[in-house]
Amino acid sequence: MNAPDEIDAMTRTLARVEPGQPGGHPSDAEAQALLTLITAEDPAAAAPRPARPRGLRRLLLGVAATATLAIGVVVGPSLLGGGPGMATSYASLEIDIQRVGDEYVARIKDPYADHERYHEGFQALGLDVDVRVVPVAPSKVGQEVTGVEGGTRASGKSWTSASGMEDGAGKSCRAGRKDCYLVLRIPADLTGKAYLRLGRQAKPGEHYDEDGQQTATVKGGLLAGYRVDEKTVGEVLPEIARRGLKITYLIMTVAPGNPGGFGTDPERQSTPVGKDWIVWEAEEVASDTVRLLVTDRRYDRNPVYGGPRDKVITD
Amino acid sequence: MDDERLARFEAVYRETYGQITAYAVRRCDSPQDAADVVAETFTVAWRRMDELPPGEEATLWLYGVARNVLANHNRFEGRRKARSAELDVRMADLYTDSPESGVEREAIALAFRSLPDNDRELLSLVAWEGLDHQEIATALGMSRNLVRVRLHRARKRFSRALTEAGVHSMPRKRPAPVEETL
Repeated sequence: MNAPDEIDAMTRTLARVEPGQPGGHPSDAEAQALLTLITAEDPAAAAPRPARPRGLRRLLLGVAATATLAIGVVVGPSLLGGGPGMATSYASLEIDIQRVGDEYVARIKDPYADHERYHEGFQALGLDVDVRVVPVAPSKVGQEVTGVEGGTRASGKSWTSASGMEDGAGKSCRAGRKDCYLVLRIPADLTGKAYLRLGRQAKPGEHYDEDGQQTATVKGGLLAGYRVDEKTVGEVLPEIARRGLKITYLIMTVAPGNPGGFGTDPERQSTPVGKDWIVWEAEEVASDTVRLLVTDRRYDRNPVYGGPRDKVITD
Repeated sequence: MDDERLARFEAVYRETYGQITAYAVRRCDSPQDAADVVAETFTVAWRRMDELPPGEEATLWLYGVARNVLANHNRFEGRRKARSAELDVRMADLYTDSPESGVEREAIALAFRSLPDNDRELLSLVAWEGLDHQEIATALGMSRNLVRVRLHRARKRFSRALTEAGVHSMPRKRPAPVEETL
């Protein structure tokens, strides 16, 4: 074997940003904007999970400019290794959990149950997993609206399995169909407390979770075939009324210089929205309600997309 | 808003922004992914300020958060691709190949990529972030001894992979290793 120093030196050559060098500077415009957006959220008011600023990726593209080397080092999902373990299972009215290989496969039978019931099931198998099942837009049913937080695998491997709607045979299915359940996979060697949220089908008119919304103006959306971006509130109201939809507003906070992306200031949300305000996008917040993302003035480019909507959404 | 909380977060942000962005860029295939990881990591930190340890341990704690965010990100990648394919293409040229990347370095990269995720992370935390055993143990929530044992195995596997790839010596044109203190 090569000497450890030599091995580390080889590894060092692969660093896209050289060791010891920063990936960006906190005084950079995009860093300042990110800080503004993140801290605009009131972490206490929105507990346990405040909405996160959206469109942040566009803010931070500046970090790419610091790239010094470009060999793609992919940190990808790794295969689960084999290992001895006790075969165990848990079943209740609310959840079934079964050991399959190196994972526990949890089938949520009652998505409306108290989350403590799920927790009890996992605890019975020695896992501290807190799952919250929240209402989401149809396209997000079965997905993790908040990825896993906390919890590490004893093996140190990534947590690779995803959730979904599955039937008894493990095939993906449509929510609402018979025998179609929300399924979650947990590595059997998980240690520590893990927290995640899964999306379930919403009842008619039930408000979706903040992270479980979808764009209303895309194909299949409540406003499919109608564009709202860069129009005034007054311009779009008639079409939304014609479709029999209710309206709410999200007043966006745009960072100085409009670097792309926006935040939401809870204290500004009760401000009355004028008909001359600008709409940048519409989201579905319930099966009968759209929320318009608005600002009180026009910007040189759409903050939601960091430029024209057409550059991001093509349908 | 709690001013004290804000002031503390800003201080930690200023202190760690360069390190966390570097961490993300070194591990993500695209600038968009790196940006996502940075944004999400600091968002989690803002939400969980109460858990944020004081002093230098804050950086290690953030590395741990970033590692989780990255793992989540990889799991969702299939889903995200569909949504941001356009943007990915548009931004791809920001990660353009460096003219310096020679054949030998590519062979090293390939060998590195063949390693288990866990090995790569340990090797990276040492070589890229300059962490010592204790710091890695803190960041990943493992015992120091376990870090030592796993790092030894990871180096061994990397060495073997390099030998198989026919790489026997260091590519030149690289500055001597610098021990980075956090």
